[in-house]
Amino acid sequence: MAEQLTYEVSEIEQERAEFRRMENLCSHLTSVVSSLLFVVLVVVVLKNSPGWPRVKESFFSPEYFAQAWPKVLEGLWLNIRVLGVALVGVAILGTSLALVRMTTSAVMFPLRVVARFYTTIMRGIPMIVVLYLIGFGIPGLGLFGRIDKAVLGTIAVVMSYSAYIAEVLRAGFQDVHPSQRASARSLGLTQTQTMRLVIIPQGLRKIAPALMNDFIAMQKDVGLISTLGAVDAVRAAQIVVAKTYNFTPYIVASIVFILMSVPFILLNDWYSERLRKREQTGGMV
Amino acid sequence: MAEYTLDNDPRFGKKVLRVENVLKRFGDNVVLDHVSFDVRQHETVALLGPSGSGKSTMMKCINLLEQVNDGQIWLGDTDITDPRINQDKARSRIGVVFQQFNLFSHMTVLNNVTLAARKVHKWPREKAEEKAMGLLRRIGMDQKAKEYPDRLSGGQQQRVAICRALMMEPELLLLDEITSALDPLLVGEVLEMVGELKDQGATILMATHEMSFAHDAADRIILLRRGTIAENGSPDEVMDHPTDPETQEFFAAYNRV
Repeated sequence: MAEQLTYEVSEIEQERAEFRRMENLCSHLTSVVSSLLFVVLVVVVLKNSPGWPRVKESFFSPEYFAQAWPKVLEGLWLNIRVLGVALVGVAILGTSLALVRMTTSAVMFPLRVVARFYTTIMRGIPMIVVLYLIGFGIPGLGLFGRIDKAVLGTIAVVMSYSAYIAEVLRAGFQDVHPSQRASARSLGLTQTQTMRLVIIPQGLRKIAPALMNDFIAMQKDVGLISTLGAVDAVRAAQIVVAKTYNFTPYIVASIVFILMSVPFILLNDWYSERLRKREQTGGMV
Repeated sequence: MAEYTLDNDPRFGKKVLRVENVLKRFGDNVVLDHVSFDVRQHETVALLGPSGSGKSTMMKCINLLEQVNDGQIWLGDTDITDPRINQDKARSRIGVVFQQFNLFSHMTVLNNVTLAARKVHKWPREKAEEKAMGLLRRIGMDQKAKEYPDRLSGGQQQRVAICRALMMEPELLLLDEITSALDPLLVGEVLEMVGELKDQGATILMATHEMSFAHDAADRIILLRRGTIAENGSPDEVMDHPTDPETQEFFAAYNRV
């Protein structure tokens, strides 16, 4: 754009621009230098630790890495499928809970109480306990015959995450300015249409970063289904560890989970930044 | 009160809106105390009054955003305060423009204007868009049909909001302080549009603080004070030749600023 400027840039602005350029350069140099120093420090401390060779062998062994890699990847496929199903489940249950909690009609009172109770309890219980309750409690009832551990794990993940998502959604929907609802109703839209066409789309926009963050958290928490015995990436790693007494497979599992989450983290950062820019145009601080 | 010629003025038709003994209270605070007035077809009525006089509450009651505690509001032959009627249907017979945050920010101008036609009245999209484009063209906004509201000036947003309210040819147009949140320089274009609508025969009830506009555009001025109607008459009677000292003081205060 600078080529299109037709006016003369004053000396004051030229001098200011030069100063800013130098300042910018200095800060870049500082960050490069400090990053290098940090890496050097970490390497030096690790290398000089008396136990480093042993830690290196048991956590970062290339040989076991290669051995575990295909098995962990195979397990990851289960995580991805569980994640996909859980995502749909959480979207449905979470939205339902949020909508029920926002109703005001007398008819919905019992459901409202149930939804409130559910979100309160579920957000309090550690996820691992929910997994045990569902994973071992439901088969223990002996009502449904044998159920796949992965299915039970998915149910537990859905139950736990729906409670969080419901509260995030509710906050977002309630944040939409009341006059938007008034505008919609005054056009003759029904309560349901107003919710579906105006409140939900606008609320979702505001809370998209928070929702994506919860999705990223869920992505790694599906690894917890391994505690039920489902052979996912973590469990696959565990099996190799049990055979070899080397912990490298856990590092392998971590790497695949990180790789899986990076695209979504980048997407989330990009979207949040775009939202921030859009809402703060003209701001300098 | 003296003989009132405005009530049998031949320029206006049948009564579109009848407010009868409306009482509205929030807890112990009575905001509207047995208010009664009419709006006739093609009539432009300005609802004036200081902040807290009950103007906004009156508008909300007419639009069924608030429930009255007593009295009745008739739209044509329908008692819209009757809980047995379909309130969504009643609302869709009235066009409303609010002070701010009118347009749906996640929809284009065109989708904003056509929403009610498509979703409430189940028009096919082409028919709704054709009519909406006609309305937008009349205010010179057809070029902006695909834009989102945040790309428009406040005045343009309000004019689009008026288009949206006009889309289904409402029996009554409620304008609730539609210029109060605008840059003074943009107030003119919005008021000009209201003036045109009046000339085309719209029936308008507007709450406003634009005294000179109310004076020039309104056929009838209703002055609310502490929840009751203090004055109801032509601009000439109410604004130019008020007899009540408190009314004189109210308009004098506006003239000083």
